[in-house]
Amino acid sequence: MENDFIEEPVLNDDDDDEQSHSHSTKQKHDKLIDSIVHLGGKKRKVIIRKEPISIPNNLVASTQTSSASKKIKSHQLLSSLKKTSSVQIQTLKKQLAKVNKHQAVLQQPLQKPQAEKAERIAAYNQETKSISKWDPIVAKNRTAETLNFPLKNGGVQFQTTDEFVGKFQTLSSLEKDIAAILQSSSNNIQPNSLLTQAEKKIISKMDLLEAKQKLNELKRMRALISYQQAKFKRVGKIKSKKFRRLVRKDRQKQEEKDLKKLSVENPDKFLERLEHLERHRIEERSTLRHKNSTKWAKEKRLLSKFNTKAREEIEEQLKLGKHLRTKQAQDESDDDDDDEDEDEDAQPASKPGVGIQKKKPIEIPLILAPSQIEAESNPWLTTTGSAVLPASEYSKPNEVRNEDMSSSDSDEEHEKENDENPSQNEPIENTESYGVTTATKPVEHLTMPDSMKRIEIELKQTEQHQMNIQEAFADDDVLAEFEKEKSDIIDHDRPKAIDLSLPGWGEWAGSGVPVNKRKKRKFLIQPKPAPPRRDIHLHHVIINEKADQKISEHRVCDLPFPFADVEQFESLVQQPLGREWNPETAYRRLNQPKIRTRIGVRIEPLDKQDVFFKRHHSKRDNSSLDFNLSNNDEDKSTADVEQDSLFDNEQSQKKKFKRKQKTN
Amino acid sequence: MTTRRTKKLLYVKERKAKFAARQTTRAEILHVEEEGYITSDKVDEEEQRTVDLTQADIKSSVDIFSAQKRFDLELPLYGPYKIDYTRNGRHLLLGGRKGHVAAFDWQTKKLHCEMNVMEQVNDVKWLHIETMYAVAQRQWTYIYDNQGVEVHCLKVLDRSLHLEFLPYHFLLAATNEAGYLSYIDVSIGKKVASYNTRVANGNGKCGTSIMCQNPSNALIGLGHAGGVLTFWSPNQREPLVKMLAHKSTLRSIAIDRTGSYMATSGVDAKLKIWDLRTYKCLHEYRTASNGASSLSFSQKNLLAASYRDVVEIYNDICDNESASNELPRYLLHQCSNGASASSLAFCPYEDVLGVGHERGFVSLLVPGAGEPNFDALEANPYQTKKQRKHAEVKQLLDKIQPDMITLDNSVLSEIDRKGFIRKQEDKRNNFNFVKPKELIIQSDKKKGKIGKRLARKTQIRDTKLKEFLQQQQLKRKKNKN
Repeated sequence: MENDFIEEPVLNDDDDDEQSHSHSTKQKHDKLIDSIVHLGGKKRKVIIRKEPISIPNNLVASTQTSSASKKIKSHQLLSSLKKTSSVQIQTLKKQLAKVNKHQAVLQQPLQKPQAEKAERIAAYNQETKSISKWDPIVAKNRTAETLNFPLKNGGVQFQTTDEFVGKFQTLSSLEKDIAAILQSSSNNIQPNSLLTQAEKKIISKMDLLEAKQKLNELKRMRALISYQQAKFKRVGKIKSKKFRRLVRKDRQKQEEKDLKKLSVENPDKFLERLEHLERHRIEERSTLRHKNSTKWAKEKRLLSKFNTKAREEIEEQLKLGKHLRTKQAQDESDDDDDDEDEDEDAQPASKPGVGIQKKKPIEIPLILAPSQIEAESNPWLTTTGSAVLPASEYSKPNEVRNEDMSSSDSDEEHEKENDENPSQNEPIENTESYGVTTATKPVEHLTMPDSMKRIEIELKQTEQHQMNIQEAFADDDVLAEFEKEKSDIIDHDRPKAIDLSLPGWGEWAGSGVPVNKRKKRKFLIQPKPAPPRRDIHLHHVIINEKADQKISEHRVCDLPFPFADVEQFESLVQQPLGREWNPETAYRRLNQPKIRTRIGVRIEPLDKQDVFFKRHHSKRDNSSLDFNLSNNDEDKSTADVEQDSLFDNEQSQKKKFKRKQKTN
Repeated sequence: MTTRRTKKLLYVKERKAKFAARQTTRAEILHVEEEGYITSDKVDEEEQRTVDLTQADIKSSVDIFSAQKRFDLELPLYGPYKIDYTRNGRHLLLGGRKGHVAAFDWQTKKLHCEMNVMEQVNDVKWLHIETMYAVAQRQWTYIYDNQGVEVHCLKVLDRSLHLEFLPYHFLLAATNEAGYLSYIDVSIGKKVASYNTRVANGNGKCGTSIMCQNPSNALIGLGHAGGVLTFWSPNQREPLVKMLAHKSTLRSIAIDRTGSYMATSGVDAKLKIWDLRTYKCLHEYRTASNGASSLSFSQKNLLAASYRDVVEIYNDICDNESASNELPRYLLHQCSNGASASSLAFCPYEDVLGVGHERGFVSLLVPGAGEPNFDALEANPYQTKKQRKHAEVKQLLDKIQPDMITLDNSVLSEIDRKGFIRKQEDKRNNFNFVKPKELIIQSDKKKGKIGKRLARKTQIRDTKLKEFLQQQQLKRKKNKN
């Protein structure tokens, strides 16, 4: 394009031609003007200005030609030579074209600031374009009902049972051996079979009827076992201390009974049992595995300042206690509350002297419990034959505890007491209580105070009197009175005009001098008429129109920010949110938090790859279209930039898809 | 201008509201219990009326458990009795005029306490839980616990005649002989307000003992001599509403659970049913001479009225469509020995009406009186002690301030339009550079007469059109089949 603007070198020879040409055009121009002037019919004298300098010289011509408007292009010159088709001219044309072609001149480089600006603009545009990809994501997150952080959710993967089981591996060779032996046993139930091999063997040898019976029996036994197991499991899980205490008590009772029975039925075994118990006691006495907090330990601690032996004892005991605790860890949940009792009870045992010994149920495995736990029976006492005694001894702490409980919840106890002797609370000796449905027994010994009687009589009289008066005055123009009151109130509430006229200002004033009517009218400010009263159509009702100051403090008197009109805001506020008005599901939904986080999980910034990759995936899934992107996926999923391009690609694909749909 | 974001927000909220509404309607499936009722059989071509049934008949035909709820207490010495049930309907409080006060669990008939306060007792009232109740005695008002131990002596409430307790606000309201209505906040033990309620109209200088509360907006209604009825809130010195209900002295008022209906009886032997939303009289019935001495609404809108020793129970009295001006009697009961009834109260969540009279207390069976499905979070008849403790704490946390008591509850969820305009004007005057907001109300709620009529017409037309379309659809379905 630039070639066109290249000027032809100006030749001196052409000057004359040029001049003559301009002269002729001027003449033509003058003629034209003349003709235009004469067109209107009216003759108008055309004044031709005469300039002192009229002779054009070379200089002027050159400047004229150099001006952009009068540039003469090489092709213009050549076009006039179209008709002549000489070889020379053709070659000339070619040469010129060549010259024009090769005369491409490099542009002058931009100034540094401009260049930088241009660069900046370009960079900005590019950046906005790349960032604008985030716009929908940001907008979505901002308007989302809730955001669950971390946003990048790995997704929940459920393990199948096989997978879970596959994780288990036998560890040692010994275990492997054991497993092998167990596997080889014929008493194992194989999967997909009801019976073990041993059972099958037995049954196969029986005849049909017997086999059936046996099978049924086996089934029943298996079911019973499973029920029992389930029950044990359930009971074992119970954490209630109270329940545990009850269970323990039951066990103790059972123990005592058994012991009694044994003493009668099997004296040898009984003696054996006693021995066993004794051994336990000795063991316990020899090992002082207790905590530091017991009475005994406290005493020892006091002594330990001066006595090294005592100190050692305590330390030893503590050590043992620790050791024991580590052992206990499994049983802790059940037998927590036992510890204290045991410690307290076992305490005297450690000292010389007679005390009642409690067994530690921790030591005894649960299965053996019934036979072994000899609860709180003192062998010395039981041997004398008074099997009842331990029980009575044991009833004591229970009683104490009962009392404690009663003091803690006074309500029940009081009620009990009330039931027992209701007269305690009563000022009057009223022995009658209304516990029974029809309490018809007359109370004889009750004497009513005289003052009471008087009150009653007076009351009756006054009531009757009042009633009579009221009946006499009934219909006594009540309505008229009420209406008068209402009209008074209406008058009182009506906004009043303000009179600003000053008497004596600009006129005479005084008694007997009338105030100017015009002035009165001018200075009387009429208030705005009050809105219609709510009770305007109800002649029997007066509704207070005064604004309630206290509630107005709690009312909203400004439209909060995002709302454009009142209705929007009110509709939002009127929705009740509380549990009282909504079912649980709705309550949860209505009060959903804006942001949810998980404890201990870091909140990462949005991940480009993750977001776009996910979007891409979800879209592809949704549209269920074959985008032929599976290959691309694998190649490009590594680099971010590539991801972007993928994103673009995907968008374009989507557009194509839309177009397709349209055509369809 | 609403931004796109706000639109989204509103849309989400609207959707949630719809969801909540749907869930609430769906949750009604859980209301499995149905209320009791009596159907009239035809015997010898003659329809039996329910009024002819005696309590003995009803008792004999109900199950044993329900039959236990019908009992009499003969207390001839200290009557007449005022009664009050707790909000969960489990406990009953009796207050004999001559000082006898007793509190007990009336279902198991287990007595909490019983005593004689050696003073005239004007009224008794349970407070928020069954371990405390207030007794209006001759001089002061006292609060006792369920052991009968005097907990407080409220010298602020002197010579009280009637007590009302507002459970959500923890307010104990009392009228006294001098004509003052006083409110005490029970949770903090402070007097909230005390106003002179003497009405210039009428001849009574003394205070009134005719009092009731509107459960929906916690206003206290007082009946005065001269048939004037006033509604009070603790926030205003003057009554919020004053209406002329009868042309002679009022005898009793009762307001139903929803706060939309009110029954009044006057000495002019009339029983009137009012719509409290419009303050218009819906029905006017002629009753026995002197009118009903006490009235009480049940949860299912049965109305009990006592005329000396007769207790009448009406059903469908609020939405009675028959033109005849006859009282729709449902059941009748006459107290033995001609003892005139002094206080009536339906037991919540039970089909039982308690009647305190001169010679004791009667518990009557009224099928269909109580709400069959209770909300355990609101009032639980089978409350354990622990639940009660929790509920008390929750109640206290949810306590509504007395400032919130107004005639129209919806005021709180609306923008104060007057305040809005005032505020914007202030802004305009004080800050010239701030552009005041305009109060834009899309559709004005208060329509004119014509607008209302038009709206009603369109509504009716729409419903009819809907019905028609549904019928058409049904027809089409049938044809297809």
